[in-house]
Amino acid sequence: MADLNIQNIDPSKFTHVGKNIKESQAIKRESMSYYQDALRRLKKNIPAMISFWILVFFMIMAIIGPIISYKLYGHTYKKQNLQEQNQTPFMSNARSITMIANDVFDYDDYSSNFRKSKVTFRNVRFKSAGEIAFKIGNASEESWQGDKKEYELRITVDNSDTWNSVVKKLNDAGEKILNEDPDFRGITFTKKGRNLTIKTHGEKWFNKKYWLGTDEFGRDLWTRLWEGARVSFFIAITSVLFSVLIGIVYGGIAGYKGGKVDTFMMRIVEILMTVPSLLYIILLLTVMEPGLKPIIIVLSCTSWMGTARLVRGEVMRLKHSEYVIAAQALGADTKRILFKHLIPNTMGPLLVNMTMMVPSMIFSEAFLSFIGLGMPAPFASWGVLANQGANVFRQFPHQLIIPAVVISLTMLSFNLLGDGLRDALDPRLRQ
Amino acid sequence: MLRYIVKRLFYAILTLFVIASITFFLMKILPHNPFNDPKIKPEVRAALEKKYNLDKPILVQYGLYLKNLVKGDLGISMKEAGRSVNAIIRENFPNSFAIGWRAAVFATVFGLLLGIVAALNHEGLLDYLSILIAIIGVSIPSIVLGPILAYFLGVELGWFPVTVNESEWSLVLPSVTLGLGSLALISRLMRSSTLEVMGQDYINTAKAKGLSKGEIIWGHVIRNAIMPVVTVLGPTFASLITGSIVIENIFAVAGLGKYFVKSIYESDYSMIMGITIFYAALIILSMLLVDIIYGLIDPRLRVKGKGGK
Repeated sequence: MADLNIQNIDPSKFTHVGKNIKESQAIKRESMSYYQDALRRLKKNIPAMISFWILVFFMIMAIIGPIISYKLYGHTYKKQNLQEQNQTPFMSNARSITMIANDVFDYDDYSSNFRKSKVTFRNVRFKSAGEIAFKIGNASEESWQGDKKEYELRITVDNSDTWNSVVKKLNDAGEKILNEDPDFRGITFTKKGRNLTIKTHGEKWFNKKYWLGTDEFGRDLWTRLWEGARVSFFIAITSVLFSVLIGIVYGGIAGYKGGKVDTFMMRIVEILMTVPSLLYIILLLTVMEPGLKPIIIVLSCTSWMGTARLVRGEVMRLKHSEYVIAAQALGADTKRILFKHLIPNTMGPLLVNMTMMVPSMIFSEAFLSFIGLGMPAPFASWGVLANQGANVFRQFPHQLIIPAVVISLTMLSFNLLGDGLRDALDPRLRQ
Repeated sequence: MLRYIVKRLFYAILTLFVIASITFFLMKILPHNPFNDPKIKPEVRAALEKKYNLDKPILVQYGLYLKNLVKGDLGISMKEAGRSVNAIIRENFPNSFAIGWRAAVFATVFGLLLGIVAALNHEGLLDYLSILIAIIGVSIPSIVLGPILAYFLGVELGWFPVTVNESEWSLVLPSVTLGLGSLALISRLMRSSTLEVMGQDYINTAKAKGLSKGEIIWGHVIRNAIMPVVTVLGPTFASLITGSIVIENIFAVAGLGKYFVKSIYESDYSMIMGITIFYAALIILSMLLVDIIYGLIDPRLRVKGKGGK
């Protein structure tokens, strides 16, 4: 232990480096403003960022989607093609039909209108004994699912036949046609319970001309979806902007003036808030002609109350802070203090409020389209598409599901982004 | 307490008055006159206008209208000859109400339960389930949810009838579709409110006193956590009432909402106005009730009332 004697340490190891003023005052890390910091925290929020990119994608598609399909195929949102109605994104020329197979089986001319069942039957007879004949395919049919040629399938049954043997005979007859004519796509008969299902074979292919299919007038759904996105986003975002503008001015004045003015103005807001806005919207829209402008006006005029309350609260909280007193001492007038000092400082909560309002606007627009007060006929909006899809949902589910997924994703994304923004802008959650 | 109720009542009447006035003047600025049809002879029109007081000055009309409204008379349909709006409401509203109250009970009971269970099971499986339901309820609009539920549960699986008929069972799908949005909202609020209460000092005190878990949850957590949720029940019921307009059209319920949409398509203005006022009155009444219930269960308001400020 004697080695560690303090006197044995070489004194030359200890030199005075002197003061380094420059280095101690250098800025090691860049300073961050409030919004830079909020942005940094928002970027760490994964659901909010995914939502953000989904929304960016939808907005880009709203801009370029209709252009792409117009350049490639000349589709527009209102161009009808009555020969190509109700197509699906994945087309198939396989069809099936299910009919109740009682022991009495009697059709003279049967052709169903449902999507999966464009098989035509003529002179189908099965009454204990005799002949059954099906005519498959229809040469005159103009539909995209139509066959080029008509085939006839004919069997004879006698009294010893049971349903099982009849089905077997039918399948054999189908195979026979297939062997004779390779163009025939093939047919299968199955019996399950009381139902006889007839299925013609076929292949599936992607609908190259109409990527998302067509609606009941043969309008391209891809074009209409993104055209609808334009309309819906435009309605939602403009109405939010207008409504926030009204709210800022109203709430700002009420909050800054305070006293009797405030009480009076806020009483009005309280009364207006009790009234269900959708009823107001309906009333006002019945008075106005339907269209883009009335919808925006009505939506923004009926939704500013929440913003007004928010701004009022913030302004009341901030109006006694030092920087406002300083501005007053420097002789700034009310307008300047309000719009240059107070409102910019309420921007954080306002931004969250605006993000959360967009989905409710999209919902209101869809609601209005549903009850017939939305965008008038040839125009597309998401509400219009969802409404049209809902009407034909049983036969053509894709016409509802595609707009439904897009609407729901958009509303979800705005909600998650709003949540993320609120967390990011909340100084209490700062780390 | 009485003061509080009287004040709420006064506001409710004032709001109703504002709505009635707006409705009346909107109806007056409409370019369409119910008897503007060129097929109607001038003398017939004059007689009709006299019958419905349309020949009097506008303020007199307004007075008569308010007087009728106080008496509960909402006017006469323009398209359905001779039928009063009151009669139509009386006939169709019970069908709407049958779905409305079921949806309200469904949303409140399951919303509260889900919220409490999620909070007690914080960051567990049930918690994530409740968040999932809340997200679905908030972001899928009922015009989409209705047809999808009807298709998968009604047509494909065949569990429920797709249209409403006499049976109790057929009311399940419309009530669930109508209530899901509100359920999501209530469960979300109840969850965050319960979580907040469970972090309070008095819960620790209760634990330190040695109360059982059930006693703490029932007597301390839920009683305190439920307060903020009660305040949103009013607007929630309001959204159920307007939401029913869509639901009734999807599930073919012969209710008031369906009639409302029909009158919009037919531009039957007096029907639109009459039903709007009726809906507004209903919403205001439900909000008033919620406000009064809130006053009854909030001890702060009770004390303030007794003190007589």
